[in-house]
Amino acid sequence: MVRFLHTADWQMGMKATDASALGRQLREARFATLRRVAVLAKERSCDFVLAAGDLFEHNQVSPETVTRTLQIFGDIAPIPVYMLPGNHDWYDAGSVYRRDIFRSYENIVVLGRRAPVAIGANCMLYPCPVFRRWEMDEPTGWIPVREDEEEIRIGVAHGSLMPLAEPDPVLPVPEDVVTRKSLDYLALGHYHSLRRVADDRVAYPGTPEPTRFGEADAGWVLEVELQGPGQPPRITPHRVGRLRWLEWREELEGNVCEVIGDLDRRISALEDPDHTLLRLTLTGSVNADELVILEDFRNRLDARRENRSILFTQLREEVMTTESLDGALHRAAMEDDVLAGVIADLTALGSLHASAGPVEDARDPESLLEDVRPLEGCGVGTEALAQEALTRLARIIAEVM
Amino acid sequence: MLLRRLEVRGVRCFDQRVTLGPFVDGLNMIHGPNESGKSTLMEAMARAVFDRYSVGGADIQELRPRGSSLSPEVTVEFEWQQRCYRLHKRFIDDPRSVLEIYDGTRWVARHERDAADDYVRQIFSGEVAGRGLTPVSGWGLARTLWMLQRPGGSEHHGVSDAVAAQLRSALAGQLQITTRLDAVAERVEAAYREDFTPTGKIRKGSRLQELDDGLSARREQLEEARRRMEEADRTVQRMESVESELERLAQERCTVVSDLEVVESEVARVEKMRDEVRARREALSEQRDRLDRLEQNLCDVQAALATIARGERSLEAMEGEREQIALRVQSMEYLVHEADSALSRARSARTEAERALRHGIRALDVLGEWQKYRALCEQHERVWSLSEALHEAEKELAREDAPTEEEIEQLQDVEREADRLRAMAEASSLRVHMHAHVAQPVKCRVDQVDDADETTRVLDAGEQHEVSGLDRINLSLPGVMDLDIASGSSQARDLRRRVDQLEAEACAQCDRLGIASAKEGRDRRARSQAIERRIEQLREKRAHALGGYDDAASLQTAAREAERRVEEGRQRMGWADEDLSQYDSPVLRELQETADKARRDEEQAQGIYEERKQNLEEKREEQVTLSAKLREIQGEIDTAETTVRAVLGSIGCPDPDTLAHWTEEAREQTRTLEEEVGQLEAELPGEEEDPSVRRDTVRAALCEIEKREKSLEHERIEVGVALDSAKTRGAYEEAVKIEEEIAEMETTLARHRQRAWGVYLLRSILTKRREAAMTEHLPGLEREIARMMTRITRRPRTVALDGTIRPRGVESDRGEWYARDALSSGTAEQLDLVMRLAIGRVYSRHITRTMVVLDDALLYTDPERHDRIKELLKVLSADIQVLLLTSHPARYRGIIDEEGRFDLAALRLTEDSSLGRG
Repeated sequence: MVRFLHTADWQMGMKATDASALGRQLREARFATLRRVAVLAKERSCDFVLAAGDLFEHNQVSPETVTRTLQIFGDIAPIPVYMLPGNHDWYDAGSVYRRDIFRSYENIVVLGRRAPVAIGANCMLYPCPVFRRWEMDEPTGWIPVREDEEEIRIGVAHGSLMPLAEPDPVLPVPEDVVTRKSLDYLALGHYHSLRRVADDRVAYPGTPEPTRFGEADAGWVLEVELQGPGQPPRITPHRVGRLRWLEWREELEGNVCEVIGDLDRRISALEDPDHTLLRLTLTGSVNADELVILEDFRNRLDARRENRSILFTQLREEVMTTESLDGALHRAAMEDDVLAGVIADLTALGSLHASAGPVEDARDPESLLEDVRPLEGCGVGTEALAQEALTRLARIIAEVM
Repeated sequence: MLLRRLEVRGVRCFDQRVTLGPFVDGLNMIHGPNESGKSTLMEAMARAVFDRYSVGGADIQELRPRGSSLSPEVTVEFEWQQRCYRLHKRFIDDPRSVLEIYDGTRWVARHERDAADDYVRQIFSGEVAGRGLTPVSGWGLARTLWMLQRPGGSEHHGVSDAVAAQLRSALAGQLQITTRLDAVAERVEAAYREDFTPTGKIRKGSRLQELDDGLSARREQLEEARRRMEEADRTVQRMESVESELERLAQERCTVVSDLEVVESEVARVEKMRDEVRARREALSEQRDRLDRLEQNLCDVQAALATIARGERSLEAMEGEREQIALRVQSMEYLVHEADSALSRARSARTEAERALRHGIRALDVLGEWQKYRALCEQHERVWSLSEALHEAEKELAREDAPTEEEIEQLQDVEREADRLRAMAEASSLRVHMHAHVAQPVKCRVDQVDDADETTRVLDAGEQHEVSGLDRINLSLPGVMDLDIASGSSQARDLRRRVDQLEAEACAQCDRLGIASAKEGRDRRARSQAIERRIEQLREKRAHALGGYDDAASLQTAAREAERRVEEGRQRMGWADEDLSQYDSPVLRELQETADKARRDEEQAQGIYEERKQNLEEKREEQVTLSAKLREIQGEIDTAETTVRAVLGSIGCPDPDTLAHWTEEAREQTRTLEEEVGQLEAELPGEEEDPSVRRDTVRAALCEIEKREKSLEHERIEVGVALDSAKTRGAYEEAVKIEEEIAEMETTLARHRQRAWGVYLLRSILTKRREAAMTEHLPGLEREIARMMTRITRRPRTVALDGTIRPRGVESDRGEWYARDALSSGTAEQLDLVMRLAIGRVYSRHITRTMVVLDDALLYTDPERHDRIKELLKVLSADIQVLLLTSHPARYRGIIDEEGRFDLAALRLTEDSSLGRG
């Protein structure tokens, strides 16, 4: 029997694409996660740890990142840690795995050759390292057929499982390889979400800590038990990830104030906000006066982040502007023809590409677009500019009136 | 803005400090004669409020007083929005700018340097000063309201957009709402100015610019980090390439080594074959050498035998020829001897003939000299006799001593005159013919009375007497008659008197000349002339006789010289007799001909002699050549015989036939050996199949592989070092950090950009809406201007303005439309003035009281209209401050109070003057 931890896609040194402001923290959080993995391996008395590729985000990660990563697993010696190069840390002349520091840890084994590695008396590991960033060949093709019936055969590869993967994938791994090659278990890496197929003979543990929004079911490692050759594996997922990446989408309908207020409450009620990253997308339409409400909400979100009441927020606005029927702008329009005209022009510009119909008192679209022409190339869309202008006007009018 | 005080120092004509003020709210006048500095004061004020204190260049230098190093200083005290300000500005040396504000008790410094400049400029024109001198176009409202003297300075050029906007806003009349809208516009403008300049460009130093610049800088850093990553990637690729190449070379090396072994064995086999061939070749070579030697010997012997035969034949032929030549030489020697003798004879004859010729020439010379000498003597004789004759003639002439022609003429004139007068006197005198037949003789006394004489004649009776030339006759008949007849003519008397004078004069002349009369003088003159002619002829003859000699003396000298030469020649010739006429003159021509003939004979003899000698020498040479040839041929024969003996002796051959036989045998042996060697060589591999070549190739390839491997090993070490360096750099994470920062910055920038450009859009739309709303109020200004023009011209006028508040034209009461350029100078001038006043009034009423400056603005206006303008100014002074600069203060009498008048002329008379009160 062998028991091991199957993990992959650590992506150490990764870039925080979706939360660039938290880059350093997110990278740091991953070390903590790995420590949990290492502790788990010790606690569960695992025979070894099998890491299936993309352990480092890039072959040119800093020495510090490598050292700290290896130290974590060096500390659980003599438990061997088998590290397979993936498509982010492929095994070429400049591979991270060729650094001298790997030789400093006796329990850390780099699987840099397509050659069987004996683990114990009756277990053989068949590593399929990635040698180039983009490889179209099947990495498991070299695995020889079973010759020893007493041997537990574990394959470890990094690639896209077919036919589940998208067409023309990189590093295609046929789903039937476990059958063809008589593997007892195929430990895969590459996808960041937990996935178990072929009666658990093939599995992706996913990344132990999510790397961006949209990675459903990430934050796991798999404890795999193989009783003997030909026996189905027993998999126990363990949650090791700490951060939560939430995505909300809210439509602004009806009373915008109420909707925004409700959002405020929900955010305040989040559990473990210190480890929560929230992406909020607002859709719908607001009138000119309500743009101020939206801006205030945006400012509150920023404040939450700044005073650390939530780890991260990102607000996306896909909102259309309509005419204002009450509020400061509306009153100013009633009292001043010039301001009324300005508000009408901006409202019309704010919904120019939406089928919202003409705005009363607004100038004709050609004339309005003429005003906008000098702003072409400023990097902001017309609707956004118009909404911003209205918001500014609303603020100023509130100050003046 | 209201002007309160103006102080200048070190500005053109104002080298001393000059202070004017305080100026009143209404009408002010600064008057002075031309060049008193009125316009200079305005220029100083303009420079102070519109230009930067630090401005440099020639234009600001021109502000200095001429020839002075003073720095221009200007102090402007003004009111704005109920506050008092004082700006002091100094240019060029130690430049400074200080703006003070009066807090009620004292002046407090508010801004300095650029801040002061910007603040004041903003008040006066609404814009920030540029770098150099501010052109008039940048004066803002002042450009409109200050009507100054400069090219185009009086014409109204319209107002800037900012001023137009202000005016439109003021004309709106919607003060309450305008205030709110203005407040909104002001805040919008303030928000706009945070990121943009008035011209719509992103302001330097703005947050937008800062963010953009920061982002650009980080992007550059990201590029650098990526570049390092790419460099590391390239290093990796290079390492891969090196290792791959090394691997390939290792495989190649195995193959090459194996090839080499095979080739080596092949080479050994071929070497053995070559040794065999070499041995056979050596044998063949020896055989060939032997054959060559035999052939050469045979050839030599045969050649020698041929030479001997040929030589003997030649000897026989040439012997006969030699005998003939010897005979010929003998006869030619005899001929040469003969020619030599003839030549000697001819030479002697020539010598003799030449000697005779020379002798003849010398004799002829001497005789010639003698002839010459005789001729000279004769010539001398002739000259001598002529000289004697001449001398006699001259003496004769001297003796004649004839008067000159002039003298004779004079004498003749006198005589003729005397005769004439005498005739006249006779003609005019009394002629008395008395025929008296008296019985007795009558004594008649005729008194010829003239002035000098009285002559008494006694006339006998019966006689006829003619008495003439009488002036009076007195016939006295005693006892009978006493008749006294006077001629009654003094003329005759005068004439007679004159005649007497002339006759006396003639006598005197004759005495002087030594003649009795003119006739005698003429005779003597004629004789003298004949003598003179004779003298002239003698002189000519003598001159002719002298020939080329100057005189007889030189002729004599030449004769003596000729005599000397003759004597010398005579002695040279050995002639004893001095009379050389007895010696014959030699016939030189015959002597010459004889000598010439002798020379020709000699030449001919010489020619014959040399020809014969030349022929003899040639023939002798021929003889020598033939002998040499014979000796040569004999030598060849001897040599050939020796050769034959030597060759046969060296090889032990008895005779040439045996030698030929031996040679043929050797040829046969050589052919046999060549066939054998040829067969062996055919079996050897060719150059292309030579295994040693292939071996060299394989060795070279192996060497190349080893060299390449060594080089790649070095490269691998190098690349490894670079790779290690890349690994320790951690370029990836550096790039990641920068990318994250850039993402954050982009987010911030996007947000700010949206905010800034949103404000831009808001401002743009707000401005458009305001202008559209306010345009309808423009006619208000037009009506104001039309009213003023009507008041001045006393004719209804309509004025149309364009968007820049510039008059497009004026419509008369007859409906005729005139563009500004078509107006008369006076009317155009008045229109420009009215524009300023109307705009100033609107501005003062609706925005803030302001100042209009008129610098001798009315040059073409007639007195009537001028008076109406005066009245208008008086009215407008309730709304606007007017500052008049003029050289004609009298024109504005009655409208300006004393406290508003400032006399520059009086100011210029004092030093460090202050003109004003307070």
